[in-house]
Amino acid sequence: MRRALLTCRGLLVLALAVAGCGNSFDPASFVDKLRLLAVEAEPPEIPFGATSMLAATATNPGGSTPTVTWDACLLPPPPGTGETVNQDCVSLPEGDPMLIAFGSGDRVTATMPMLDLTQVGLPDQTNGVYLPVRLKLEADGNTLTAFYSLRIYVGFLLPGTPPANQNPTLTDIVTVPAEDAGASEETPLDPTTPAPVHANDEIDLRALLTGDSQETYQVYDGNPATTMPRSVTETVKVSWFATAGHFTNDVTGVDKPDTALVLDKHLPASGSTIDLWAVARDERGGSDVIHRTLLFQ
Amino acid sequence: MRFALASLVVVSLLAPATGRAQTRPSETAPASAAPAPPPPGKLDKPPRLLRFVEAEPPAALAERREVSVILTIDVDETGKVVKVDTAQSGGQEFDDAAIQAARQFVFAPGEAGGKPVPVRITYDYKFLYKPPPPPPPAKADEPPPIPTVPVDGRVLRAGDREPLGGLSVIVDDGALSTITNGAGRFRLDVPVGAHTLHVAGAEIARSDFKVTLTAGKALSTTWYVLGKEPYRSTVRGARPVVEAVETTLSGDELRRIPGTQGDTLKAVQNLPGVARSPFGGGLLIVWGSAPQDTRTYVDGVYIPTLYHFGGLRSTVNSEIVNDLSFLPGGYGVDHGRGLGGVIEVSTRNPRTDGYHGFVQIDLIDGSLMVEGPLTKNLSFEVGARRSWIDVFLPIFTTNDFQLSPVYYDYQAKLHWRASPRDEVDTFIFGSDDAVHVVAKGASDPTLDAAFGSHTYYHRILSRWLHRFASRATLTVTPSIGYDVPFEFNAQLGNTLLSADAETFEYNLRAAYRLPLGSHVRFDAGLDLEGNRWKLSINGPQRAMPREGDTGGGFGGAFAFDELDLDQITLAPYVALNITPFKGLLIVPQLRVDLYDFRGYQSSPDAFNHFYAMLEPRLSARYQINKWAAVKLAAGAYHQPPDPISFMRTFGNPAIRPQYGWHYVAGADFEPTSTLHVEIEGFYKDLQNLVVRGLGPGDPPLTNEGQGRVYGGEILVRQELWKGFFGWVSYTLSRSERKDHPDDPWRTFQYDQTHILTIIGSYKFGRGYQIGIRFRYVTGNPYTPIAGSYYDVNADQYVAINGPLYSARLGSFNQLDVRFDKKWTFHRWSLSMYADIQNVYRAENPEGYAHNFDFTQQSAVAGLPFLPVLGIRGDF
Repeated sequence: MRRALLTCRGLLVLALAVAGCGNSFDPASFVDKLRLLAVEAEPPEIPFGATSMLAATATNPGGSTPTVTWDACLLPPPPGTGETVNQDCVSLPEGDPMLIAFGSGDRVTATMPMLDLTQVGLPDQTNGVYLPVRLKLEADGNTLTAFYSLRIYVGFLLPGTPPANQNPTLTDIVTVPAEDAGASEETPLDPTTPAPVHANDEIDLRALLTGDSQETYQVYDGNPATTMPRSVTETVKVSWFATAGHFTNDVTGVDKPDTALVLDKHLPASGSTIDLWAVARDERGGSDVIHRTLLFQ
Repeated sequence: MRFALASLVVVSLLAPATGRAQTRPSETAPASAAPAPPPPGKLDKPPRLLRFVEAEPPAALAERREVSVILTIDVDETGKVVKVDTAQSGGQEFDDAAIQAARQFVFAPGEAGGKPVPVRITYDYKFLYKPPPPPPPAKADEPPPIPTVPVDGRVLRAGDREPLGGLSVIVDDGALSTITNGAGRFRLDVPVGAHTLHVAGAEIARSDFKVTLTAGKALSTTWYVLGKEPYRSTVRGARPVVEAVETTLSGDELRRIPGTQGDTLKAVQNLPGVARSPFGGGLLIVWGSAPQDTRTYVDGVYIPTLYHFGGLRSTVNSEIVNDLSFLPGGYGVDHGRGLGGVIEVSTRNPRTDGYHGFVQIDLIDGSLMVEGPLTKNLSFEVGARRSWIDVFLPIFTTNDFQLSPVYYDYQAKLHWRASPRDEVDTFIFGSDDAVHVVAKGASDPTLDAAFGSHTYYHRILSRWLHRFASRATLTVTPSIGYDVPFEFNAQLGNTLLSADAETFEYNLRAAYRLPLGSHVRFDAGLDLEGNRWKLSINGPQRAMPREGDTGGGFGGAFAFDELDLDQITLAPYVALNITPFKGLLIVPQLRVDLYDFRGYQSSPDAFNHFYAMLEPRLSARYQINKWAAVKLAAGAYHQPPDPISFMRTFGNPAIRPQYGWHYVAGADFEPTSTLHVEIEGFYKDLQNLVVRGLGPGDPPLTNEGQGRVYGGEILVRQELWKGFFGWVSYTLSRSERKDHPDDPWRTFQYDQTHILTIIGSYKFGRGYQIGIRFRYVTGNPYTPIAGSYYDVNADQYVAINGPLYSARLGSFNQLDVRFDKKWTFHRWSLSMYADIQNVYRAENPEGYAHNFDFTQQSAVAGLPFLPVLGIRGDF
């Protein structure tokens, strides 16, 4: 019998990856080149024929503003791999019949095409199926390809006709005197007046979410025809990005909302600004972004 | 009742002055009683027996009356016996007694050209039952004899208390002497008074014992003597069919190979044709085949896994292993269902000369074993082992990361001499691996994870060996078992994953051998394996990796499936061992593999597939001269799909068996009786391989894959000789795959062009031994990353792969060293060892780690310097 699943060694490797061990590369939270940080879809889950406004949060520190081209890719994922995106979508040229053009710019309106559900592959662990939307970002001769999976509403096929997913909502980024400080000690970062910071500062930060950001939904742990659904509460995680320093926690959650930006490396010139983003994502394609700046002195 | 022995020496082949050669006993037709005349100008004088040692006849002789054991005896140029093997068995206990005695023979050496030369002879050791002689008549006018006292003694080897036969027991200046029998016993009538008894023999340091004898008081005593070079030979029953490529290693040699921590079965990883497993794991990659294509058997019964946790320890305790045979390909019809190789582990019978055992402790686990006789014809051995990594590993873990692996295994065997012609073994054994991992994603709360994995198997087998009067034999081995190849549960954030597989297994193996005259032997057999599988998987499809997959992990499309699969594979086979003339052996063979698969019964997806496949095979061997032989083998092989492949969501219920052809050609050389050189070339053509579906409309798995493997290997092996043993093995090979008809050929995932292994071990007296192992291996192939794209929903970059396995890691080289020290006392012995891996801390790359967007990479090295210390007591 083939030992097809993870052996002890495979578990060890994965566990080490989870624990963040083993390398000296700059983390993804440090932004110093063309990057796409988030795509917000409003609404984030739509039925066939409906429209959603898609907005890209892209950045290119020290360079020109990137151009963004949007296309939906209709190539189905390879069978048996469990992938949600067919990698051939990366290289399809504009105008390919397997692409549906949604336009250019940092915001576009996308209309969900009529699809045979077998084209989009098996559902993920949240019982969701998705339309892959390709983004091509170009700036200063550099190209970045990204895929955003726009969730297709098929709730009418499920027992109880569950509601469509909604985006989480970030209300603010605040500073706190220390980790686990109370709400009364939070100080919002002024979006219009960058807060002054200095080399080796350690700025404790927290992202605030509205109380209804974590929705509940049903999952089936097995055969939907014979298994009772399980109600789960969304896991909303916040990814942090900055153009200087490093974060003590690159990703925070509702239960562990705090991180600290430590300005010990990648420091800009005095008088420059440091960009700071917090991106909230749920498990079903919903997201929200907040951007602030700091003044480095 | 007294027994008497007669023996007949038959010189069957004579050696040239510079070397020796003879067809191996297992490869010839039944030994002929007619001696072959010596070639002219070769041997002038055959060896002449100077000292014959009487064997202790087994009790069964009284019933059997006459038993013949044909031995091959290697006599060196000094007349000393250096090796004894069984050419034709007369029964295990008779074989053991004859070998024990023959090892003590002393010869005048053979001569060629006027000089002493080493010679191999065939010796027919006959046990004949004789009634006891009448007592001698009294002589009235003789003077009264000097009073004597009977001295009954037994001589055992210090440390393991093994009885030593064939030793000389000499009273004082030699007026009286005798030889110990196979049980180490002797009897002398010694005059009263003070005497010194000297015990001497080739295997021991000479020992003197002072005794004072009083009239009327018999003396019964047990003496312990220090052995010079304890060596237990390997005695194997003749195989039902002849193998073109087979390496058999004895337990004593295998236990002291550096880098294996005394684990006999890990020695397989050092044989030619076996690729190095990544991270030192236990994947058996044989002649370019996938690990799951090689099958492992214990006493003829298939086991699903040979090593704990992918290579840490073998699942069968080395102490119960008599020997191990490795068949990399082109093997005979008594095995099938695999496109790779075969590993046959044969367990030994319990010792009957008293109660023995051992306790061993090292940094990884502890084990113990006890064995001995229950009655005259019934003996037992029981052993168990348990790891304790989980005890001290928490010292190195944190609240955010906990790893707790545990394994154990057990073996219990009963050996029953039911009658002079029947032996019955009952063997219960099993293995269990469990690991729990808790990892808290310090940087990502959704990656808080808990994993649990549990794999185990249990077997009960019974083996009956019957010897007919016509020299035919019948072996029947029924067995049942219960396997859980995996039982996996994980939680990642809100996601629950599970994968479970279990099977009830039933097997029957029967083999019949019938000599038909002196030139032909007929073999027939039956190989039945049945399984009732229960499979259940709830998780992402990417969690079921296959060769040729790249990347993947937890995420993406989720799937669920359950399958109850009934699988029966039945294979009758026949073989003819034909010796048309001396030196040539041809073995045409035929195996018929019948597969029946049934699944999803009582559902619309029910399937029932039956396959009947012919597997013709042929092997041949020609002994060119005394020390060289050529060989070839070719044949068809099939392999059933693994059970998960039949799942409709993860595989394809219509998946078919894979098949292939093996072609092997080579030569064997024996420059001396203990030095062997084997050279082989091989080619494997693989078809119908199970691969991923290609595009829309394809099922997840199809049979479109093809494979080809070609290469050559050489093994130079020195058996234990004057304290040294070792080998050098080198393999040059290429393994390729084509996933779909229009795809180009690509490198196989585990292809390794060059594999060089050098092993040497030397015992330099006073219980000290040192061994080294050096390996050089071509780096493993890997798939380079051509780019990446950003998955916005997952907030991670996904690698875009270049051509599959088109790049190669740096080469691997490593030196391991092992030190052993043994203290021998009368009734027990104590051993300590240090097994140090990667002595010069080579940083061998095992893969690459990448930054978040795959624009940077750094090499990941394998295990660093690793010392393992152990201590063991034997009694």
